[in-house]
Amino acid sequence: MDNMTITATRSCPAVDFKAESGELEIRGESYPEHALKFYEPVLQWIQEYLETCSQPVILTVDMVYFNSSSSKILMSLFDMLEEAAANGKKVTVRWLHHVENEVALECGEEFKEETRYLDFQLIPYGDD
Amino acid sequence: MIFDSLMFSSEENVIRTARDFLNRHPFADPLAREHMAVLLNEYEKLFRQTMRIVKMGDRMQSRLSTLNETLRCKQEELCYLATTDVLTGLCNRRSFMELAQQELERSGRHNLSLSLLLLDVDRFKLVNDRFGHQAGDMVLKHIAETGRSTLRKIDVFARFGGEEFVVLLPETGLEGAAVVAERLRMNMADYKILVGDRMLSYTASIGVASCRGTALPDLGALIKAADEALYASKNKGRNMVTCSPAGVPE
Repeated sequence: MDNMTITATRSCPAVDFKAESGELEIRGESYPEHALKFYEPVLQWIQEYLETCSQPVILTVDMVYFNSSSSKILMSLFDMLEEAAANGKKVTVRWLHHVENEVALECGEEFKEETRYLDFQLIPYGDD
Repeated sequence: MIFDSLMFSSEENVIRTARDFLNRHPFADPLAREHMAVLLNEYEKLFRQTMRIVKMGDRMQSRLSTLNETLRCKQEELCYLATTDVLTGLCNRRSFMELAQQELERSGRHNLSLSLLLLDVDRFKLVNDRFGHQAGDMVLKHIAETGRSTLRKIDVFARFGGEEFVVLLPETGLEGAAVVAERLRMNMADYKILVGDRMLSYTASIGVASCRGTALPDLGALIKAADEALYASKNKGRNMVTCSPAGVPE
C-alpha cells in the first residue's frame, strides 16, 4: 500500500502515513472550509489500511486547534481504530499536547474516554 | 457518564425512557427489539459525542479568546514602545512627526497659528562627563517633567533625539510660544540637585518658530526655522530663547 503525505496549510494539518511501519501522523491545526473533503481520503486510507495490513498501528496526533467538524471526524477516526482494536489489532494513539496547553490535554481526555480497546496515550511535550 | 447537563435534559429523558421501555416491555418481534437496541445505542453515542464536541468547542473558543486578549495587550505594548521614548516617557521622534503633521494640516484648515520649539541641553556632554550618564539621564527626565508641568494637554512634547527636545504648540502664535519657551528655560535653569558632593544644574537653549494657516510651510520648513533660531541661541551664549524671524506671517 502507498504512503500518504499531505503538506500542512494554515487551516489543514500535515498528514504522514507510512504503510510499511504502521506509523501514522497528523499534525497541525484543523479548520478546513470543507472538513469532509479534506478528511475523506485520509479516512479511506486508514480504512483500507486496517483491512489489508496486519501490523500494529501507531497514530500520533498533535493538534493545536481544531474546529467542531474536525472533532467529529476525529471521533469517527478513533471509532475505526477502536473497532480494529476490539477485533484484536494492536492499536496505539499518541495524543500529543504542549505542557502549557491545558485545552489540548482536556480534548485528548474527551477522545480517550470514548475508547476502550485501543491504547490511548496522552503525551505532554515542552518547548525543546 | 457525562449526561449531567441541563442543556440536554430532553435528550437524556428520551434515552432513559427508551432504555426503560426496552428493558421492561417484551417485544413480540425479536428483530424489532434488536433494531430498537441498535438505534438507542447509536443515539446514545451520538448524544455523548455531541456533548463532547460542544465541550471541546467551548474550551477551544475560550482559549482563543484568552490568546486574543494576550495578543491585544502585546499589540498595545508594541504600539507604546513604537511611539514612546522609554527613558522619558515622552513621544519619540516618529510619533511626533505624525502628530505634528496632523496638527499642521488642522491648523491649515482652520487658519490657526501653530508654533514649534526646539530645545537642546547646553553642554550636555559635560554633564555626562562630570557627573556620569545616570546624572545625564536625570537631566533628560527633568526636562520631561518640566514639560509635563508647564505645557498644556494639547501641546505635543517629544524627545527628538539625544539631548534635543521638540514642542508643538497648537493655536499659539510666536509671542505666546516665546513666553512658553522662556518659562521652560527658566524652570530648567532653576533645577539643582546634589550628585555625590557636587551640585548638578543645567541650562537649555531654545529656538522658536511659528506659522499661520494660509502661509503654511511644510513641517520640515517649520523645524528648520526653529533649528536656525536654536542655533542662534547657542551662538549668542546659550541658556537663551530665540525666535525665528522668518515665516511668521501673522
